Amino acid sequence: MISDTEMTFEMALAKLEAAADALKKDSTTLEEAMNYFDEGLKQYNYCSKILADAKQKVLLYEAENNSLKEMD
Amino acid sequence: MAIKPIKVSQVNSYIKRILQTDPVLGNISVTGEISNLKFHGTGNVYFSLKDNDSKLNCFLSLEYLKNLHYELVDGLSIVASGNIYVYERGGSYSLNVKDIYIEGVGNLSIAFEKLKEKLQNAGYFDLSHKKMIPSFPGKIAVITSETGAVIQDIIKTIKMRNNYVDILIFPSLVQGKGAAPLIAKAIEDINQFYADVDTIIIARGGGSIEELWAFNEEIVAERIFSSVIPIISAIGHETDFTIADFVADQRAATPTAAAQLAVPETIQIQLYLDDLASQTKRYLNHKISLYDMKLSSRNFDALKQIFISSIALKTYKVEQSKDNIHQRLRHIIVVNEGVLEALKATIDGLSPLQIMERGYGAIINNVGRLVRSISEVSQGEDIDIRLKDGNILSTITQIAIKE
Repeated sequence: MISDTEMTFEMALAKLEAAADALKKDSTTLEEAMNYFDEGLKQYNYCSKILADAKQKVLLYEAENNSLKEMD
Repeated sequence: MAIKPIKVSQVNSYIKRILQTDPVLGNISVTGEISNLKFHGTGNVYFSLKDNDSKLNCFLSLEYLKNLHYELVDGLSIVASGNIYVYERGGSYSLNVKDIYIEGVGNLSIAFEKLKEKLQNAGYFDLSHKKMIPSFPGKIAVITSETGAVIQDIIKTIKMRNNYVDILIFPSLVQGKGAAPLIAKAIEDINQFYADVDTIIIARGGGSIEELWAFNEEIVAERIFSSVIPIISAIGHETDFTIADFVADQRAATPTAAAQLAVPETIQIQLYLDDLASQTKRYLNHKISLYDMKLSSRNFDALKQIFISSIALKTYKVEQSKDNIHQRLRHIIVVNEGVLEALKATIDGLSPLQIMERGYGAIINNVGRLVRSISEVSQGEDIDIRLKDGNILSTITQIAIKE
């Protein structure tokens, strides 16, 4: 099980998409639907936060010490 | 005057010493056309170089074959570098090839087609091996020249579209003999040490077939094919196709196009997220109203049932009551008819007319009232005596009190 802090944007997005899909199904019960909605909302907030807090980095690989150095 | 005869092995040994100590033959480049190309099971390659008048046996060991930049094929004109080697036991000599260089678009095209065919047959270009380019990457690695417009175009394009993807630049030579091994190593290093990279872009600006050649080398094709991380290639101009482009999971026409393919626009992602969120909300509401409807329809049905059965019960009771009432009414009527008959007989017996029939009469005073006592009349008063067949109008002359 991956904790929330390790979860990537893509994983959270996949969960959000899965929640939306599950909600669409006729076979989903009301109780399940509420849980999926909660889950979807949680992932939506998580993804939006990643976008809002984005700190893009441009890194340069240095072969001699096999490490990345921040550019700019 | 001839020296005394010597043995065959001595001759060959002598020739070997002469040839292999010669400075020219020790490091020589020979141009010629490949013929009789044979790949030996050991991995070594044997062929002849020929021109119009002569031919030279050549030997290429596996060790040097691995570093070769071109795919060899009969008829290909090459420049082979190496040294002359004498095989003493066979009394033959050959060129021990250490490197091969190809010149001219025609020749390069032949080598290109040869490698393309080989890799195609090996399944390197199969769609089934193509990996999906991640839609929402967090890290993009770029293998290209550290200097020049390409890297700037890619960084600029990514930054314009997206504000969260990290860009890892792996500088590499992108032309010349050393380029292909460096590009191959960069792909390997990223897969090994930076496995969290979502997509690799391999890019180079436009150039001649010679300048782009590193991307037509088998070592690069191999590493692209075996990379676990999906790779987008953008080599040369839109019209240039390299082997790397065929093997890559996705080919982009230009470095800018590669950047566009690699990263989505942040605003589009946010819109997509918003859409998903509103979808979940909509579906939940839909689900709720669906259940609401089900619930109320069930309630209505239940109520209807109760209502219908209660109506039936009441109808039954009403019917029953109706029957009772009829019976009771009939009974009452029967009883009352008897009572009525009896009363009639009694009444008939009591009727003044019956009494008058027996000869009795009634006295009515002048105001029309029946007179029951002498105290109700006075002398001289007119009275009306009624009998069964008429009246006698008379005047009271005397009143006598009963003793």
